[in-house]
Amino acid sequence: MSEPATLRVLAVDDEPLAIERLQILCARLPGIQLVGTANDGPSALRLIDVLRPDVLLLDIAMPGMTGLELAAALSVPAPAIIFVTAFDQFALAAFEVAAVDYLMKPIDAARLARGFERARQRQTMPSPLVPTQWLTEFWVPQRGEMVRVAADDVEHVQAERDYMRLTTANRSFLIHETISTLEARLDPSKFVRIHRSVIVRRDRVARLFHGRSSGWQVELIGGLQLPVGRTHAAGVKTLLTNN
Amino acid sequence: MNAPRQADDMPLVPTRLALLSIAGFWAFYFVINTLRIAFADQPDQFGMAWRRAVVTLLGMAITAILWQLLARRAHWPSGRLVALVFAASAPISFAYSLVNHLVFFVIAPSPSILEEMASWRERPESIWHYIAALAASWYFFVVAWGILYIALAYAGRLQRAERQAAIFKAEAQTAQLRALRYQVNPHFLFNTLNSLSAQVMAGRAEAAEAMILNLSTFFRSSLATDPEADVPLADEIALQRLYLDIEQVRFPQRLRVDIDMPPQLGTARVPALILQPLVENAIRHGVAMSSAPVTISITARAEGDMLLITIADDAAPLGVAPKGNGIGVRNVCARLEARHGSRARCTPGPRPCGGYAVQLEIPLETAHV
Repeated sequence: MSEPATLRVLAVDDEPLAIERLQILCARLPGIQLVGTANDGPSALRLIDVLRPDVLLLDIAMPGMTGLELAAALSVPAPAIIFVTAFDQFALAAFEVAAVDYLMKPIDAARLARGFERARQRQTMPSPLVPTQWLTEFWVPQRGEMVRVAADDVEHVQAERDYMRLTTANRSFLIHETISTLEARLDPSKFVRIHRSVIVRRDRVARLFHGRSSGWQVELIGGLQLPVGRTHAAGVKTLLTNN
Repeated sequence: MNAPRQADDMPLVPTRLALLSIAGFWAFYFVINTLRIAFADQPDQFGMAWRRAVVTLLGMAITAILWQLLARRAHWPSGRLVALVFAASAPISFAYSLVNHLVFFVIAPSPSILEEMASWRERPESIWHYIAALAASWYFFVVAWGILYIALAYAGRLQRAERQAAIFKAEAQTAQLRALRYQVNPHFLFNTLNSLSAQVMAGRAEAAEAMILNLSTFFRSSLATDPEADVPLADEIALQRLYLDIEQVRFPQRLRVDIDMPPQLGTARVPALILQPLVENAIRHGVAMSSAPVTISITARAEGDMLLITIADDAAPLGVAPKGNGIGVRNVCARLEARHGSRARCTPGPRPCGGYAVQLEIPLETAHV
């Protein structure tokens, strides 16, 4: 087996000490070459054009242009992005940009190495056939880490105050996002909003029935019953029956 | 939590008040009836009066039974209590009527009613008619006291609810202040730890050590300060200087600090940690959002009997509206208002040449040495 190719990395952060830390970390990891650093978005964009790095280590909170805005401004073929942040509710916004990983400061070396590994895998994988306008993954905070949840694994979404609870087959996650944003970003051929505060995955719906006192209800596979909002009832019926 | 529980164990109607109401009711009856008989000029008034006094005392004792019955159920809904009063008053008034009969006719027969007694010897069942009739007329007297007791219990319940609401409100306020104090900005904490880790990895032990000391002093002072207390302005500003020293390591090129406090204002009293949210905002929305150097200034001066403190930054606007600025400033203003009422003022707003400033006006009080 041949030695894996060296990953060329560009680090972007507005704090000099944070940059220095990434430099030291990268220097310690085999197969990683830090080709440059930038302390704001515009200079990062210029360096990306010139250096064509494989991976971006990208801070989110930066003056002028945030890491998210920078990622959105990248032209194809874009480098793999690893977000690096201290503490953010930005997590969900990262789904707008396909990130390979989402790391928390101070990053430990092993975790960073894993992020680079993911970037390497992404490199060898063919790029998505058709770039889709629909959301394919969520990054959700979980015990001080960001975990990737594939959108297709989500069975239903329920609002809980300012948060949305995403429920998958075996666990659930809270994300800070509005239900209308989620409704707009989830593929409508797979997901349907049935209530002011509920979205379900269509293939999870077992039956649609009219309760005597409770109005229209959706029962999911597994027995969970969720209410259908009055304003959503007509849409839900056509959507589910025309399948 | 001890105070409310103690209050719960106390009866809704204090024992003293309950006993007084029973005594008052019966004393009222005694006085009215004695006067009535005096005006009617009936025979053997004294003999009747002492018997009536004995019966009145026994009546109080019997009513006390009803009191005990109600006191244990004072938390019941009023409707149920009323039903209980109507039901329990029947045996109570009957018992009283029986006692009344025993005293007046059996134990110490009054000479003035000997004739009446003679008639009963012929028809013994009429004794019971007499007792029952008397019980019926006393029934409403007993019921009236029972209803009075329910009214007192209701008032007690209202008072307790008000007291508890006041306790909860006070606790909520304390909890809110406590929460404010422990509200360590996670951004600050993790970014600082990240810088610290960079110093360690780069082998700059002394810089790392200085940062650790600053950080621990800052956290210790802000956690040890009673957020409800007032502190000397000099202490409050020293704490903010410490915080800014730590942030200066994160933003070596971008953060400048300008503190201007006349030494004689050092002893002026200000609510503890009142400047913290404002300085933090200046970092978060000023320095962190600007690529050019930003000066954060803390200025204090006296104007008449008012202390004016201004926290300002001169960050050039980058087109991003400050998000989340509101809560910190609002908390500061609310705390000042809670502490000084309308005498304190709080004026936040953008500055004409860029940046943001908050001016606090606090009544000038100096520490009593």
